[in-house]
Formats: sequence, C-alpha cells, structure tokens
Amino acid sequence: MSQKVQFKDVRHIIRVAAIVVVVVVGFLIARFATVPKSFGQYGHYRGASLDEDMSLPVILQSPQTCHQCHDEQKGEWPGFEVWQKGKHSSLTCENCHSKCQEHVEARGKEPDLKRDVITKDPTPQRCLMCHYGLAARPKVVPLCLPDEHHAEYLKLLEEQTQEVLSCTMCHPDYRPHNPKLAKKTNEG
Amino acid sequence: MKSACLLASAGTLLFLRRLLCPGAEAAKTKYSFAGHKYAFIVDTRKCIGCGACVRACKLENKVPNRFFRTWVERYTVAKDSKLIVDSPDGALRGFEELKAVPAPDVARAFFVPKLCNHCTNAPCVPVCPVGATYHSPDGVVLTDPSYCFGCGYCIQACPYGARFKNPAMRTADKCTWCYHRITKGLLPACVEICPTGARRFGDAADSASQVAQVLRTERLGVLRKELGTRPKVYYVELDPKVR
Amino acid sequence: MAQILLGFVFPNERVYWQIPIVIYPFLTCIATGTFFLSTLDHLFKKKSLKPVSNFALLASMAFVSFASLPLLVHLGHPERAFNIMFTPSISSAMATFGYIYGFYLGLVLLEVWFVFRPQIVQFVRSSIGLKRAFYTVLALGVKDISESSLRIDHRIVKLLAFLRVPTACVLSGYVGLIFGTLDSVPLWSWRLMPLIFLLSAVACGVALIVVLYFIAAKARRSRMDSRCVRSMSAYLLTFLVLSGVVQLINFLRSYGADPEWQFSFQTLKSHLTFTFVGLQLVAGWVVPFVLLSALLFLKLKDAFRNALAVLSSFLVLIHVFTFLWNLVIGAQLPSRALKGSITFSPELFGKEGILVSAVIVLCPLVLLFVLTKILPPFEKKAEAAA
Repeated sequence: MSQKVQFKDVRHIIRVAAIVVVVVVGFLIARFATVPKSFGQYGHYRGASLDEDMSLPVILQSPQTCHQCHDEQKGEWPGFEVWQKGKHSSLTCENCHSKCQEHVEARGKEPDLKRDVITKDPTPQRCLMCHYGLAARPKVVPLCLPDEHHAEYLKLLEEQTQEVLSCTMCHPDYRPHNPKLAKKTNEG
Repeated sequence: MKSACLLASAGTLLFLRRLLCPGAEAAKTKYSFAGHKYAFIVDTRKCIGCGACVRACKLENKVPNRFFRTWVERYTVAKDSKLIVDSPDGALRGFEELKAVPAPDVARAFFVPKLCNHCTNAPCVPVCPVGATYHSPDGVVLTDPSYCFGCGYCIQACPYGARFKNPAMRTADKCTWCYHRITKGLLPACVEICPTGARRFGDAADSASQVAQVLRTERLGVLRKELGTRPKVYYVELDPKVR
Repeated sequence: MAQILLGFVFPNERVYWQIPIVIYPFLTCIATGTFFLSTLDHLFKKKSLKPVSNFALLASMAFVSFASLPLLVHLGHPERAFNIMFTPSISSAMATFGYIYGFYLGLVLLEVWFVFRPQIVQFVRSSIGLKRAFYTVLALGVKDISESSLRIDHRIVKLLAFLRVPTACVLSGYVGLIFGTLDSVPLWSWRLMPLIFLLSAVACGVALIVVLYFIAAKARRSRMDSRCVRSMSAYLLTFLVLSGVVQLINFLRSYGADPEWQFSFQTLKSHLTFTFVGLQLVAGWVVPFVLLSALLFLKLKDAFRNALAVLSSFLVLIHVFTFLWNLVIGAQLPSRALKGSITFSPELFGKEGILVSAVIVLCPLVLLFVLTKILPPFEKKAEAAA
C-alpha cells in the first residue's frame, strides 16, 4: 500500500473484530460453565454416567434371594429344595413365579389377600412356551406336540372332569420327570 | 418398651433391606475398572426360543414397547433351500409354528439370540458427535442418556441393529450387558433367566471361569466378522447363514 | 411409522432419519453452492455474473442461517445442541461439520457486511428516524466510506472470498462424509460421497439463483440480464454433467460383485421407482441436460432462452432434492439383515412431517426476501431499464 493506513480507515474493522472476540469469549464462557465437570474423567465422555449406570436398580433376583425366605428348614413355604433336585433346577424362580420386586411390594398391603402373587398359571401355554415341539427347537429340553403325543392328555380333554386342564396333572412343576410316569410318557 | 419396639422395627427394616436389596450392599464396595475382560457366549445349539430372555430384559431395563435391547431370531431352511428368518415382536412371547415352512418341509432350523456385541472396534462410538456413547474402562459400550441429544448417528452406524431411539427418553439406547448388575458380580438379566444355558457371561480375565474355558476350547464365531468390529459376543459354532 | 414390507428386518430397524435430514443437506448444498457465483465475481472478476453476485451472497447468508434448523427439529434434545460445539468428538464427521458450519456462517456474515457496507452507510446518510437508527447499528456506528477505507474493505472481501472457497467445499464435503463413513449402510459407504455432494451443491446453488433471479425480476418488473443467465446456464450444465458422471460411477458399483450393495440398490429401485427413475434421473437430469444444451448451443431468442434456463434450473433443484431423498431415506429401507426392507410413508403432521419440513424450507426464502429489502442486491440501473 502506498499510503499509510490511518486509524479512521480501520475503525470499522476494529469494531467487527471486537464483536468476533466477544462472541468467541462468550462461547468459551458458555462451554466451561455448561459442560459437566466429570467430562473427560475416563475418556471423551461424562465420567459420572458410569456411576449412574452402576446405580440403576437391580430387579431380577437369583433363586438364592428367594431361598432366604422360602427355606424348607425354616419351615417356610417349601419349594426351594424340591426345585433344586428336579429337572427344572436350571430355571430361576422368576421364570415362572412373580418377580421378587412385585412380591415384596405386595407384602403387608392387605393381610387377607394372599401376600404372594405367584402366577399359578395352570394352562398348558405356560409349559408349551419352552416345550412345544417347534421344528427349530433343539432337544435340550423334552419336546411335546400335544396333538400327537399325549394320548392321555387328549383322553383327559375328552373326559374333561375339571375346568382347566394342565400339564402339571401328570408332570408336576418341580419334578416334571415323574418316575411314576416314566413308562407311560415317551419323553418324561 | 416403646424404644424396644422401635429398635426391633428398625432392626427388621435393616434386615429386610439387606435381604431384599442385596445389590445395595455391593454398591458400597468400590468396583475396580481394571483387569476385566468381559465376554458373552451364545450357544445357538441350546437356544429353545422361549423368549424368557427378551421378557427378562424388558423388565430389568424398562425397555419400551416395540424396541429391543435383545431379541431372538429363528432361521428356517426349507428342503428347497429357501431360507426364512423371523422374529415375531423380537420373540417377546416366544415363537409359534412357522406357517410358511411346515415341519415336514424343514431341512434345518435353529434359534439365534441377538444383542449388542459391545465391539472392541465399535463403529457406533467414534461417530457420536458429542461423546455420549463410549467404551467404559472395563470394555463395555455404554450410552449416556443425560448427554445424548438424539441425533441417531450411532443408530445408523450399528451394523447389527442393536441400537434404537428410546421414544420416552428421545435418546439412543441399547443393551448395556446390565452394567448395573455385572459391576455387582451378578449376571445380566438375560443370562440369569436363560433356562438352557444358551447365554453365558463372565470375565475371561479369571482363567478359571467357564467363559475363559469356552474361549479357549470351543469353535467360536462372531457376527459380520468382515466388518472388523471385533465383537465381544461369541457364538458357538455359528451357522454361516447367520448375519 | 415404518412398516415392514417384506421379508425380515431386525426388530429395531426403522427409518430414523426422515424428511428433516433430507432438507438439511439440501439447505447446506444451496448455502455452499451459491458461494460459487459470488466468488466468481468477487475473486475472479467474472463480469457477466455481476448482476447476481450480491444476490447470491445474500442467498448464501439466508440459507446458511437456517441450515441447522432441520437438525434441531430432528434432535431428541435440541436444548443440548451446543454440546456438539462444546465437546466435539473429532472422529465424528458430524462434530467436525458443526465447527466448519460455524466458521462458514461467520465468514458469510462478515463478507455480506463488508460488501454491503457502502450501501448501509448510504442508507444511514439518506434516511431518518427509526430506519436511520437501524442502519447506524448495522454500520456499527462507523459512517466513513472514504476511498482508503473502501480499499481496505476490498482486500478484506477478497480474503474472505478466498477463505470461503475451501470452506464451502469442505462443508459440503463433510455432509457427504457423514454418510460416506458408515460401513453399516451399503448405499452410503462410499468414500467419494463428498465429491457428489460438492458437485451437486454447486449445481443446486446456481439453479436456485436462476429461479430466484427470475422471481425477483418479475417482482421488480424488470428484465433478467440475458448474458448473466447464459453464463449461469453454462456453469449449471457443467456441474450437472460432472455430478451426473460421479453418480454414474456410483451406479456402476451395481455391476460389481458386492451382493450387499446389489440388494440395497434393487430395494431402492423397487421402493422408490418414481422418485429415483422418474424424478432424479429423467425429469431431474436428462430433461435439464437437453434443455440447457439447447439454450447454450442453439440460436434462440433471449426471452425463450431465459425461460428454458429457468425451467431447467427448477428441474435441477428437483434433481438434487430427490437425489438427497433417495440417498437419505432410500438407503434406510433395505434391512441390514439383507432379507427384507421397510417402507416409508411421509406423514403430513408431526415433528418431522411434510408441513414442518415445508415451513423449514420457506424460512430461508422469507429471510432472503427480508434481506433484499434491507440490503438491496440488485443494481438500480436494471430498474431504470425496465
């Protein structure tokens, strides 16, 4: 430039620059004020989120939890020891019974009402959820096609002496492999 | 007399609290992030498609309707080589007979449980613009619902369909391997409930654990190996048709 | 929302990115594409584009200001939107885009201010009352437009225009990278995606300026500068052909051995036949190609040539919009399980529906209208000629 730069010529540029600086500073202030302090603690994320995830409530319980009350030796609602010895011991209690949380919440609410809300769903659907002989189902559990294999069941259906027929009439819940029936049933 | 009653009730309450919330005690002990090599083993030879895992997960993690943190697929190969895959509502209520391929026409059929693979090279983590999804120090891929702003980029990046947008929270959501359980020494809900042992979980860093043994001895595969995501969910004898 | 059409899809699969995510690259493409015209004038002194260069600059400003609105509408938590600038994850194309977008916005605002400063000061001097106060604020209280200050301004404008070129290229490129880096979706995972976006952006930007120039001329009851229209048509045809070539290269992948891409492409074609073949290819590319070639290589009357140019430009806009629709929505239709697909039916109401999206597209046009009133971009001479 042949002429010297005079102040009056750049006055507007200085004002623009000042605005830009204000915006940048404002941005930085907002950034340091808003971003949570635990961000970056373990990596590029909010470290407190790990603690939050860890403190979520545990809902499903293992049979050991149920055993603390349902103990045969204590004389309270036996079932645990029977279950342990039967073929259904690979299932947790909550597979068929109501969840510990619901159970505990119902306690002490209404003394006359049965305190436990155990699902006594006697319909075959409960058993067939696992045991129906679907083509894709491997024989890691005994499989059943009610229409074909359970002549006794179908006979009972015909005779229909009860309101609801259930598999547990021949296959008790905890000991579905009932030795007495071993000869009659093909898979137990 | 009154004070005795009060003491007794306080004691009972404390005892009940210990009884009913075993997890609360464990939370107080400091969990160490270091030295964990979590792995999840799925054995499709044992899955019976009962759907208990899907229901357990929904309950444990309050998963919203029509979205799934875990689900089960059924692969059916007919005698004419036609392949049909189905997952009715994620197998929430188990499976019924497949009408398209009646039992006599089935050449081969099996169930495949699916969940987030918690990949070591997770494609969903680097694409998050704000750092709302991350690898925890112990190798679990988690999301931060308080920081996520719901752009859905991670959902698009997952090749396995494990992620979804939680309609209530309006943030990205997915299976966390029940982080709140495994950090207390418990099993994820789906593993806990599985009646046949098709799902197993453990810390391979413990060489005596069942999981470490399986990793040493079984023929294991992972989903979409060609993508290089290095999943930490291993499938025992994975069928090549499974994607 | 999305229904399973055929086969098997993973239970969590939906069309998560809907119409707003189609609009956002569309607005960004226009915002970056319009840079082309104003740069040619300011930086390369292409005289034929002088009538529209300032208008293109204002269009850039209007569209870049609203380019983030569709994203905000889509976000589950728009109040956390600033997290992308506070804690960006550099590995994420979306985060990098956030910063480049901010930088580009700043550049455009500065360039508009410096280019229009003489006019603003003129308004300060010639108006009274509220209007004068408004323009004084706009001028930042500086009323000096002496030769020396204007000379400095000129150099700054050149510098800004010079910076704007790579920024615009990188901005439209990064929109492409947002899609191109995802290996999970076969129709997106092409590392040359930024190139398609850049070329489409320029074509789209030029096309919009032609259409808006026509509307502005009609509104001001003046005639379009034919030489300018011809020049713009030439650039439009060039970039239409270039983007067509790159898109063709992408389609050629369908003849490769990649079964995933093949499956995805077939699904796209069967679901979106109308938008893909009808709009994007035929109406959007072939017809404007023919019309633009005709008006450039045949001897035609000025008025007829202008009409053809406007029609072609409108069709090119449709081409880019449907290209983005087919890319964003179409790619989410084939299932990742490769055994089925989902359908997408756009809803009229709803946060991401057609109505909201139409309003979003109108916003920058309204802003542009307001801007042309505050900072008139057209020469007064043209008005006198009419």
